Amino acid sequence: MKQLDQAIQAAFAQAIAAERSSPPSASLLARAAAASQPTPYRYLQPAGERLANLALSLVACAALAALVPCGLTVREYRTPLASRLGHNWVSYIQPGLEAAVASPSTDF
Amino acid sequence: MQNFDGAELRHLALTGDTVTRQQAFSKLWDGFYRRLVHFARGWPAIPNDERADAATEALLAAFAALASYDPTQAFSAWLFGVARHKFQDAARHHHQRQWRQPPLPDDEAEKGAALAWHDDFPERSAAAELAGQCARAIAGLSGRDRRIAQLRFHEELNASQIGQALGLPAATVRWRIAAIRRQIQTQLELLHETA
Repeated sequence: MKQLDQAIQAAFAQAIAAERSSPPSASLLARAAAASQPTPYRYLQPAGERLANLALSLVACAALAALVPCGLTVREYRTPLASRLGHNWVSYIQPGLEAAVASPSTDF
Repeated sequence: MQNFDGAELRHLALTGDTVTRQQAFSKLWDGFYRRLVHFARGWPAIPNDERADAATEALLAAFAALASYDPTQAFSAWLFGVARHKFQDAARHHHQRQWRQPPLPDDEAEKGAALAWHDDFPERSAAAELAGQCARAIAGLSGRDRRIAQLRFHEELNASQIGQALGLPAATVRWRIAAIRRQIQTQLELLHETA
């Protein structure tokens, strides 16, 4: 068994040595150096922080949606909300607001 | 064959300047280019004149992805795993490009690749006769078995590492290695009987 394994290994070694090869070209080296260049640091928000933000957004969405039947329109409270909390918050809340406006509870 | 320092290569590629990274790539090229060109023969769908390009692309992809290499693992197992994905893509791409031509039956494609494998073999001395007979027997293996045989007998990877590189269960690799040994042994016996 060992002799067979050694013979197979020798067969592969000879076949691989017979493969044609040449040094990498300058353009290939440049490609490789560019491809392996470290990418700039990118901040990834921790999962806990993302979850907390989502929970707060849902609470804010529910609170604002409850105000819709009181006569407020989306335009009236979107602008001050955006200026206070920033655009990202509005983007979280917006789908909830749209849904609330689409089916307002008239007997509130 | 597991004497390549992948951890050092990874360190050089990730922390070095442009010249250092180029030197690191040259080192990777010197260590693995021929081995990958030969490994590509395990995909008969890749034409002979495109194997060198496929090996080059595999080396570039591996070098760019060195950050994902775990230095506690065998470097060659990781590298051949990257190469396997590139060669599968190349084989698929070539197959799609040639869709208008009637495809070769699998057996003929395998036979063509096997002959090419044997034709490239250099002139042998009498001392290497057994290795030459093994080469003829290896040429008769299927593409998958040739990939497994190279990783086992030349790269000296174990069944788990081969499974990781080729996307196969370790038990399947062990079973195929035993079958490959039997097949080559049978071929050698046939050659001796006819000689």
